[in-house]
Amino acid sequence: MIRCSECGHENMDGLEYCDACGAKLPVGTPAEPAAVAVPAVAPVVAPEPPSAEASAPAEPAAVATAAVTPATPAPAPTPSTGTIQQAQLTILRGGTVGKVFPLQAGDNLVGRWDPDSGSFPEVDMEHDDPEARISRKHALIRMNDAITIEDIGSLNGTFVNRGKRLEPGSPAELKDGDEVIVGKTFFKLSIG
Amino acid sequence: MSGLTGFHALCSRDAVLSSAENFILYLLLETKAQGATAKGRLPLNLGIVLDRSGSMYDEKRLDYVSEAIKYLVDQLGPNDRATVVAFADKAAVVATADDLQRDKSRVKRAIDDIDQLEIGGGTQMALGMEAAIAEIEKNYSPNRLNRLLLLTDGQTYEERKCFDLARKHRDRISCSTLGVGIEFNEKLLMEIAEASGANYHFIAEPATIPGIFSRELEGLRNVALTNARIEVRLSAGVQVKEVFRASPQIYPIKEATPDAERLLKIPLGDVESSTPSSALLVLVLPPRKPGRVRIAHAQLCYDTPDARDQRDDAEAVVMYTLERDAVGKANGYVMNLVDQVSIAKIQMQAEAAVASGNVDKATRLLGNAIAGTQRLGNTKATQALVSLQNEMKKTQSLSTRAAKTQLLTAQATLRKTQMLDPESVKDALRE
Repeated sequence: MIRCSECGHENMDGLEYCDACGAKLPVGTPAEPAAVAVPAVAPVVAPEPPSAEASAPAEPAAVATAAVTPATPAPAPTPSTGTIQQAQLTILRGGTVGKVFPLQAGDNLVGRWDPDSGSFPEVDMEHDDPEARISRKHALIRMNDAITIEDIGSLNGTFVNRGKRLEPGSPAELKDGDEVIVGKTFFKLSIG
Repeated sequence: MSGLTGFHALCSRDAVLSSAENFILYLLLETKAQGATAKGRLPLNLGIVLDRSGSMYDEKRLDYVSEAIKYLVDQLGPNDRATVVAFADKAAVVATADDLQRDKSRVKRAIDDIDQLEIGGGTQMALGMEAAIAEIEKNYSPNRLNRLLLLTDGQTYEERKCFDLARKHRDRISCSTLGVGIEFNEKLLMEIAEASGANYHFIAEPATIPGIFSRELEGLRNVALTNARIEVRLSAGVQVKEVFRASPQIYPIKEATPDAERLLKIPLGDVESSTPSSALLVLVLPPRKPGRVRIAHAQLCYDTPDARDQRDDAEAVVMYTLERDAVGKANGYVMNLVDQVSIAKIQMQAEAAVASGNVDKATRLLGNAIAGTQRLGNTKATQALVSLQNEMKKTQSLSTRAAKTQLLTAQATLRKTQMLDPESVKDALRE
């Protein structure tokens, strides 16, 4: 909340003018980002802004070893020091080729926006999948100390490196450079 | 952006903090239609409704009106239709569309003789509107621009009926209003114009009547889209605090409540080419985890001379982030409209405060509105608001003639959107 300095009225963050007296409100110093109240956030990623540059060659070594460790796709995220900092999916075929979806720490839903259930996939294919081959809730990519992908009951299936269709409920681990096929769209995963 | 209409959605910020509380985000939905269509401009079907009550003889008002209408008659082309109706205690059709087709000079003589009509001296505006609507309906076509031009200088009887008439016909006939002097009911004229997304004009000086008529005519000639509205589907968890029309005129849209499907409809009416036409939504966003989120999906629905029921899409997407540095600055173009809309709202709050007898509150509100117009460099509005504030301090009301004149001037100035060139503010992002 922003308290108006003129009349003391409590206004919602982001408001430009006091609702009660019309005074210009100070530029929002909104509440601290409160990870506590926000569901399913891995707070580990927050405090490291410097690695935001595209050229961050320091991590990949650590990441590579993390990715090589035997696949123990733990559904319960265990925030550890080896957490992957950055990864992204790039469309190779069947959509806007070259479009990049950065992955978030924790869960990333692959699917299409659903106005009715209020589902907002992190990897939203609404615009890149005119034939709707991708289910609204298609697959789940988890990024913690490893990256895994799990089909969550899609109609047209999820495939890694052109292997067998993933069984719903059985996550597969992903490595840097892996190809992921979701519906009819081909992605490449890049880590770091 | 979508081709012909340039319809797009702009958020006040592209990135927001994943904070723990609900917060405000402004969403501008704007169309800027490109030039006239291949088939050229829409033929007009106008109904001009004139007040001929006794007060119209003051300040030679009726003379200026006659001059304006005769000019308008001269400008009409062979495909245009227009009818002229005068009202006082009764309504009289001065010229039908057929009369105009047959003989323009006879119609002009009839306009000169409006003062001879035996229709009394009262102000029965609803009768005038009804008669003109009936005439417009005779030539009604979705391929014409069907509009009422309503001019009055006084308080009418049966105000509710006037508004209901405008509302009832708004999908077929839009209605621009012109208020002359200071005796008319500006709220009624604004609401009638707002019902169909048309224009409200305040005319302080009767000598400006011909100029305002010709500006309205020029606007009509430029209409590229008719029957336009914005349909916004809000994403789950997103609420609407307020909705305003942000251009070309600024006013609150009172009935904008989303339905059970979270769909909100905002009427825009007729959209002139090359003139931005927009709505500003004050949204309350919920806290979310980081990631790209679509907060709303908007569609511009409209007719063109060539096609009915066209739809263009725009999407409002924001990035929730935990990093304060990633939040960046606000969009200067959107924030300029937020300023203009907010100041107009503060001025309305001041009016409401005076009406409920709270002059102190009104003075404070006006002070903040003045600070706002000064920041925006709107000298005309600043002057009107300062005079209004002084008058109010002196008389503790808004009942004097001087105060009413300043109030109407301030209202009309704040209502008219001052458009910035998007290019000039593209980089002028704000903290």
